[in-house]
This record gives sequence, structure tokens and C-alpha cells, in this order.
Amino acid sequence: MAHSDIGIKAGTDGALGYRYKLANQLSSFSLWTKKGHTVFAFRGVTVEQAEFGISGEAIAGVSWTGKYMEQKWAGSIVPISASGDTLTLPAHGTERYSIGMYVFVGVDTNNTHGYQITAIDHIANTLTISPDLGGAPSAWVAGTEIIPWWPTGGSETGEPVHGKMGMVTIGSENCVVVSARVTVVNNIKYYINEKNNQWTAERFGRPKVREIDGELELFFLKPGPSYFYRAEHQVSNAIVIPVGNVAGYIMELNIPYAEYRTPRISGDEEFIQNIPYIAVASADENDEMTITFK
Amino acid sequence: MSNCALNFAFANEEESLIIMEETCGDLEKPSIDERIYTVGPVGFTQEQEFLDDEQVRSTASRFSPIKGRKMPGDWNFNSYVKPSGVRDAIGDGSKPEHDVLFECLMGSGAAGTDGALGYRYKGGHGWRTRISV
Repeated sequence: MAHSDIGIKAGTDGALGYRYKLANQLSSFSLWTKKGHTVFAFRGVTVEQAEFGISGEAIAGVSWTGKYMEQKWAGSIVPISASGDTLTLPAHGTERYSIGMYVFVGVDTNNTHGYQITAIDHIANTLTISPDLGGAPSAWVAGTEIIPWWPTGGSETGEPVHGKMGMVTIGSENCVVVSARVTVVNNIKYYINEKNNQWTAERFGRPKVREIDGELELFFLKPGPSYFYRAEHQVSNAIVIPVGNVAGYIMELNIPYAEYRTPRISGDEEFIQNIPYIAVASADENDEMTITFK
Repeated sequence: MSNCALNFAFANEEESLIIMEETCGDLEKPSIDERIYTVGPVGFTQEQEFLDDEQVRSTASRFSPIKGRKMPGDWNFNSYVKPSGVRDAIGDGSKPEHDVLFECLMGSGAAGTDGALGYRYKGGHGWRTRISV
């Protein structure tokens, strides 16, 4: 499934900035993470859930969770020899590597591209790599380690934003809240039960609807009882939850059709009202929420 | 100078890269431009399935199970909300650092300009309808 087929490059609808809209089909990505001496890579990764936590006392954050098809890894070890397309490792050394991963052979980085592991022989303790190390003598120096490929350089862009800035609106009216949570659950299923000549699941889909819900936490003020009525009578409101108030540093969660669930009141000092809600779609579909960076 | 900690892997030195897959399930090799910053380390686990050998052998002993499937893995990490610092009306300048995650969460993403025509997704069959928005 090509990325160009499934990411709907959706609309410019009067917004300055960059907007994410909901679509039926979802893309996958590859995730690489370097944990010290070992690099792990994951293919066929999807985002199952994102929980946005926005409060007046913390940096706004997202908890991401998801699934993937397969993990691979490449560690570090001093080889016995390295020449041509073969790296000979000490006993059990090959267990530190997976086919498809990339390594630097000592200081020989293959012009920073790394050498790809194309075969592993756990009996002979050898890794086959591509391309070849080149003519003898290779750049590998006896005693130096094979280490996992990893790019260097780059620069960090953007800045975190504190949850305190930005004003929530409910039905276009300002509403001071203590915190706001929004959770998107994609309900993705990996088809591990297919007989596909592979040990892994190679396809995923979404056989059920996505679920977007959240909760507003605010002090129990005089307008508070209204939310009991709205929950009971299925009143729909637009909820807009911005983070930040400086152009370029704003994320805005826009939920056009939020329906409330029964609020709760608690607290030993000030009474707090927690108002759960669900985001529903209009007849246009896929419009339960947008996320805009602007 | 010696370093007694050479074999350790430290959480504060973790780095992560993320890149969209052109073909679903084909591992893509990222560049440093795909670097993302997480809050705390990336967590992951992928269970290997093992099936009990249920052949009756006239013994109470348990034998080595039979290797099964590699089950779909689970991953997790936290991030800050991290806008780019740019309010871009034309290009992709407003994309946040975690753009790939947002696109994979929602399904689509695009830069916006005032009063332009755009595409809106119209259901589950993959067609698009050009509309004025």
C-alpha cells in the first residue's frame, strides 16, 4: 500500500499553518531507536493511540502507543576478521544482529551509509554485508568494533509549549479549564492469523470505528450544572483546545461536534467538575477532530 | 583514560528517528533530518509465540514447546507538543517535529492557504472530490 495512496493530501480550508485531518486509511512508518551500543529498528509501525494531556501546570504532551510488524537490531562487537563481504564474529556474536540492519565496520562507514547485513550464519558466526568492504586492506583495523549505523549532525527545531497558554472555547465561548484531555484510538488490527508464508503479520486494517473522546476538568462554577443537562439531552458543542498563544508556536485541537457524558463533581477544597465527552462526526464523515499547527 | 561503563547503555543518550514508509511494512532508512525527541525512553516489546507440545508421551514431563508466530509488537513513548515556530501559509514550514506521528494518527496532513481549493476525503473507497473550502 503506497503512502501516496493512503495519505489523503487534504484541504486548504482557510487556515494558515499545517492541518491534520482524519482519513479512513492510515499510513505506516519505520521507527529507529539507538539505545547505547545497540540500534533497534521497527517496520510496519502504526499509531494506535495518542493521548493529549494539556493542563495549566505542565508542558503540553502526547502519550503515543502503537503496534508494529517486526523489530530488528544491530549491536556492537569486535570481529575476528573483516574482509570482502564477510565479517567473522566470536561465538554468539551474530545473535546481536538482524538481517536488513546497517553497520559501520570500525572507522569504515561506507561514506556514512553503513554496510547492510544481507545474511547471517549463526553456525559459522559470520555476517554477510553489502557492499563489500572493498579491496584489501579495508579500512577496518583489527581490534576495532563493528557498531550499528547511525546518522550524525542535524539540528533541533521547534520548541515545547506550556499548557497554560491558550484559551479553551466551548461553543465559541471562552472557558477557563484546569486541564483538558483528548484521546484518539484508531482500533487498528494486525492480521497475524493469515497464512502468508511469514512468521509476522504483514497487513493491518481498521475493522471498527475510531474513537475520540476526552475530558475537561474545571472548577465547579455557576454555569457548571448546564453540563448535566447537555449530557442528558445530547447537546453538541464545538470544543477548541489551543496550546500556546504565539504565532508559530500554537497547536489547536478542534472538535466541532462534542457530546457530553455525565459530569462528576469532587474535591475537598474547591469543587472540581470533570466533564467527559465524545467527539462525533457530521454527515460529511471524518470530521470528528482536526489538529492545526499555526 | 579508561572507561568502566563501556558496556552500559544509558537512557539519557537514547536517540530516535522516524520516517514514513513508502510501502507498508518495508523498513525505511531515515536520515538525521528524521530525528525526533522523546520524553523518556522508547518502550517496546514483541512476543514470540510458543505452543505447548500436546502429544501424549506417557509421562508427566513437560517438553520444549513448538515455536510459533512473531506476534505484532507494541511500542510507546511520550513527547512534548512541539510546534515548529513557523506559521507558514504556503509550504510545510508549520509541520511540527512529530509530523509523521500526527499523520499516521489522523490519516492526512496539509499546509493551508486562505481561500484555496482543496481536497476533502469522501469516504472509504479512496476517491477524492475537489471542493471549494
